[in-house]
Parts: sequence; C-alpha cells; structure tokens
Amino acid sequence: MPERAQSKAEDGALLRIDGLSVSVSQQPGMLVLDDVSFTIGRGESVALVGESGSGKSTVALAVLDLLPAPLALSSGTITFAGAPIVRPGHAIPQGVRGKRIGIVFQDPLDALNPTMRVGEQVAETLTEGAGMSSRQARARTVELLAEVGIPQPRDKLRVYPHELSGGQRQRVMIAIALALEPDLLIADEPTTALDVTIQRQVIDLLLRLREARQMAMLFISHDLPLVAEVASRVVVLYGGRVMESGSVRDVYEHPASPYTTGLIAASTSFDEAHLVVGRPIRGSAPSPAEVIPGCRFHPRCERAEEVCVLERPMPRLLPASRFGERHEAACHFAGMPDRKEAHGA
Amino acid sequence: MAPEAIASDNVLEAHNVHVVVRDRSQRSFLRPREVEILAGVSLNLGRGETLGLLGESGCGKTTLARSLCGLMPIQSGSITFTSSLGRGSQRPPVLAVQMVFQDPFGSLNPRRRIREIIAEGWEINPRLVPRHSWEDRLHSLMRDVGLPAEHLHRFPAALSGGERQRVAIARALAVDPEVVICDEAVSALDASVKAQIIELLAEVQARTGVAYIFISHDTSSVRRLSDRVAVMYLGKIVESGPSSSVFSSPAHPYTMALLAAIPRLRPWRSRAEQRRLVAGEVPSFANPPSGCRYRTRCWMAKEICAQFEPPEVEVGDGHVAACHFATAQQPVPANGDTVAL
Repeated sequence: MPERAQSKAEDGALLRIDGLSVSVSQQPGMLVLDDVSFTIGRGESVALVGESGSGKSTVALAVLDLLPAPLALSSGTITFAGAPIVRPGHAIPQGVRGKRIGIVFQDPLDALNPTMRVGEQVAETLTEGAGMSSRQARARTVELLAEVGIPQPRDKLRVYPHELSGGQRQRVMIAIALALEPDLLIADEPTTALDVTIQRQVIDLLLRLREARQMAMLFISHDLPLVAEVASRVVVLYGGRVMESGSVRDVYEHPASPYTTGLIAASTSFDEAHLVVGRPIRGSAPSPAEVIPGCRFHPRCERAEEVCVLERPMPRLLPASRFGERHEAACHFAGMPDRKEAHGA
Repeated sequence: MAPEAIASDNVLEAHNVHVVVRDRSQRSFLRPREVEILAGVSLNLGRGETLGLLGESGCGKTTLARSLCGLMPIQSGSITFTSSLGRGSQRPPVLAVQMVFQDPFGSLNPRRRIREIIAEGWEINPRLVPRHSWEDRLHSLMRDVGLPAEHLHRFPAALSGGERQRVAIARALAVDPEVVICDEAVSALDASVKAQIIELLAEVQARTGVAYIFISHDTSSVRRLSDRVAVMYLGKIVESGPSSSVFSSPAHPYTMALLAAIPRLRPWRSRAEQRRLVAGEVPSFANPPSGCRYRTRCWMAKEICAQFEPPEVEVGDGHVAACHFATAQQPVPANGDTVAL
C-alpha cells in the first residue's frame, strides 16, 4: 500500500490538497476551511460530503482559484499533476482552470449565459480554449451535445438556455466542462436541482463519460446515497475541517467518528429494499464565525468528553484490519468502542 | 381510489378535478392556448391521515395543492371540505386548509418579524384568537415547533433554513387547521435538518390530529410520513394506495422506475438489481400523448397504450394503478429487458 510520503506523491496523486485554509479577510480567526488535506488519484472519483456551510463548495472554488472576496487563501498549497497551482499570493497558472480541470455547478441556469445561444457557449470554449476554427468548433459542439445525450443536437445549437429543461441545461454544462478534455472534473451538487429520474440519467452520463475518458472526479454533495453510487473514496467535511476520509464502503460500513455515524443515520434512504428512517443529529452546523474550541463537533456530539473541548483532534490513520485501508478520522475516540452505544443498542 | 368508501371520515375529497390554464407564452398572445394541467384528479384525505403525493417537477403536484386550498380555480369537478365542526360551520375553509411552501426564504415576508408572520392569520380573522391571549399562543406555538421564544422578535433573515421552515409550520398551525398541505416542505433542506422537520411534522400530527397532504419528489420523505400515497404523472394520478403496498409492490411502470432511480445508501449490500431508466423527459402538457400519458417513456408500452386510456385496476386492498398491464401480481420484467434511453 502506498505510504503517504511526499516523495511518492507525484506518481499517484493527480490533485493534492495540502493544509488548505481559507479565511475571511480582515478577520484572521474566522476560517471557512481549516487545514484541509486530501488527494485525488488519476482517474479516481472522490466525493466531498457535508452539510451546508461545511465548506464543500469553498474547496472547489479554492482549487480553481475562484474564491470570491472576502474569502482568501491563508495557507496551504494545491498541487495538480505534480506542479503547484494554488498558493497564497500566486494566481493559478493559465491553462489549468477550465482546461485541465473542468467544472459543473449546481444550478446550470446561473452558470450559463442567458443571452447567448447554447451552441455558441459550447463553441466559444473550443475556439478560445483549444484554438479551433469556428467551423471546427461547430462540428465538435454537435458531437459533444450528442455525446451528453441531447436529442437533435444540431437543432439545439440555436436555442437559449431558458428554452431547455433543467436536465438538458445540466447536460450542456457537462458538455462545456468536458469540451477541453480535462483530467479532473469537479461536479458541485450537479443533480441537486433535478428530479430523481433525471438525476439518474445525469449520474449515469457522468459515470459513463468518466469511465470512457479515464477522468478523475471531485464530486461534491450532501446526499450520501448518491455519493455511494458515484465515488470510490469520500472525504467528510464538518465546519471547515476534514472529519473522516476513506473508501466509501469502509466509511459507510464502519464510520469511525460520531459525526459521520450521525450523518449516515440522518440519511433517510432505501436500503436493501426497506426504508431506513433518518435520525437527525441534534443542533445545527456551526457558522465559520462561531469560535468552538477543541473539536468543532463537540457541542452536538453525544460522546464528547473534556478532551474534546480542550484539544483539537487531528486526523489519524485507523487500523486497516477493522476500518480498511487509508481510512482516517479526526476524533479523539475514533475506532474505540462506544460505551453509550453499547448500552443503547 | 374509491371516494364512497368511508366518506364520512374524509376531511377533504376531490372528485375528477380539471384545471386549465391559459398559456400566453406561445406565439399568439391574444388567443392564448388552453393547457390542461390537471386532467381529472380524484383523491380523498382521511381525518388525521397523511397522503403523500409523489411525482416529478411539472407533473401538476403544486397545481393540485393550490386548487385544493382554493388558490387556483378549477375548471370542472369538485373539491369538498368537511369540517369536523359539521357542514354548517361558520369557519371558512381557507382557514382549515393551510400550506407550508418549499422555499423558506421566499415564503416568509423579510420585512416582518416572526411574531407578525405567525399572528397574521389572527390579525385578519379577529374572532379567531382574542388579542389578550396572543402572547401565550405565540409562545406555545414556538415551543411546539421547537424554536426559542427570542426568535419572535427577529426577522426571517436572522434564521437558518430549518428554523424558517419551523416558523412556516407554526404559521400554518396558528389558525388550527384541519389540513396542512406541505408542498415540497423539506426538499430545500439538508439531510439532518430534513430529518428534524419530518420528525416535527409527525410529532405535530400525533398531538393535534391534523391531516397532511405531503407533496414531494423525494420518495424517502414521502415514504417516511405517508399512510397512503398517490403517484402523479402529467396531470393524472397513475397509482395510489397504502404506502406500504405501493412502495413494496408498485404496479405502475412509472412508480417502478421512480423507485428504481433512487440511490441506495449501501448499494453493495443489495443484490445487483436490474436498473430501469425512465427514458427521455416529461412530455408537454400542451400536447399530451394519446391513450396512456406515460407510454412515451415506458418500457412496457404496446400498441394498446397509444389507443386507449388505461382503466384503473385494483391490484390490492385500496391499491389502484392506471395501467393496461397492471395486475394483482405484477410480473417483474425478465432480466433481459432493458430500456432504451
């Protein structure tokens, strides 16, 4: 198994996020992301999960160097294919954003230009990004629209985004994101605005394209069941910190931190043909402005003890025999049997 | 559904409701096209019961909700509300049927304090709650929905999405309704907040005996709350029945596909099941398919589906499906059957 040593990082990891912290400028204590680290291997599909306000989307924006003011990178580096792309005080090198890293946002109606025909928006990416002639770009646009499953792609070139359904708009976004054949696709809640049958179509499309192009994916979602179908590894964020990470299967079957356990229990879902009713986590997620000493989850945690208030738990590797390979959790009690649970169950 | 079954126990009955709207978006503004959004919907809601209404966006769920509470005129058919206070009661139905909307950011007036938002119904109907007991009622409502009383002085902007939805529920409960229509009331919320609100709704029902029509495209929430469920497609109810029966043995191919599309939390635990995709997208209301409205996306569609509208077939106890091929024991399509995209 690969040791997490720096020297071996380059050959495995496509994207390496190292100690990423994002602060609200002028308020140094207010961290939206606090020392977030994880990697995505070539062709690997990693999901970032958490409640709203956990910092999921901020990670995506930081990777693309698109943090909106007043958010600013305060420390950490992001390395892509061995080269640093995001560091404090440096702009992202040209030719990475949109070209080697594609992005699909949650709401395609916001992300597409409402005054521009769909065909032009896809073609623009090709002429600007790949230096194609407009004739070439037009032909390629038709191919791309067909590839993402838009019926009669030639006729759709001239329509405006509002004339398409939500599912078709998201397909257009995917076509734009894939136009320059990126190595990594960031998908930020790409199906949240869609109906379940259309969600299924879009997810199947993403999986098929990922497979065909051997593309890595960072899939951002609050929907745990959806993540299970899309990603192989999962990173759980809470209040701007990584709570737990590991393979989806290990994390879902053997969650090691009370937060992840609660998050899984809160998902109402169908499992093995019966309904699993969600049990809510008490309280609500903290805002970055809240100063919480120690573990940020301790005010909501049923296992919290004194140490949780006093000391911040750092991510640590769990024994592979019980929790699977590369499974980490940032909890003082990670991997220890829960006394209360033993009684309650 | 059989409307005559236990009529006396129903608080709300809709019979063959048609709603037609004028579509001015098309070419001729002066001669708008008439589009039928509800094409003969019948349902009944028992006292203290939860009826789940399941369907994708644009199937007419919200139109049905709005017509049930009188916000939308109906073309034909009937909607009957029977108050527990008796038919001759003076209470206007508008108070007895309340709504909780999807977007807690859009449904609360940002310029009014929470107390004003909740008390608005009393303001308009002065005989409802005497002014001297407002304060007590406000505090008990806040307690009922699990909000601190300090929030009464706040504006909606100071509250989170989950808290706002609690305010919306308190506002609906303020006038002692007999029916609350929840139109995608939990769809905009995070998983853990969603679970809290669903729990709150169940708790309120247990305490007050209010009946819910719970509208959602989120199958798991519908299943969690509903006693009975009705599945809508393009302005019609295609399947309805007891929740347990519809979800465990769906008889309409649309319901089957809808259930198959839901992601599983631990997909590796279930045996590899055949995944049936719903092909294409919902057709337009302006030009609904002939015969069965679902046939253009259905993997079972045969010639008969284009020619005749399917009759309602009783497939189980109170479980009805409108499909030519629905039988009491729906044969599961053989493994080779796939659906073209």
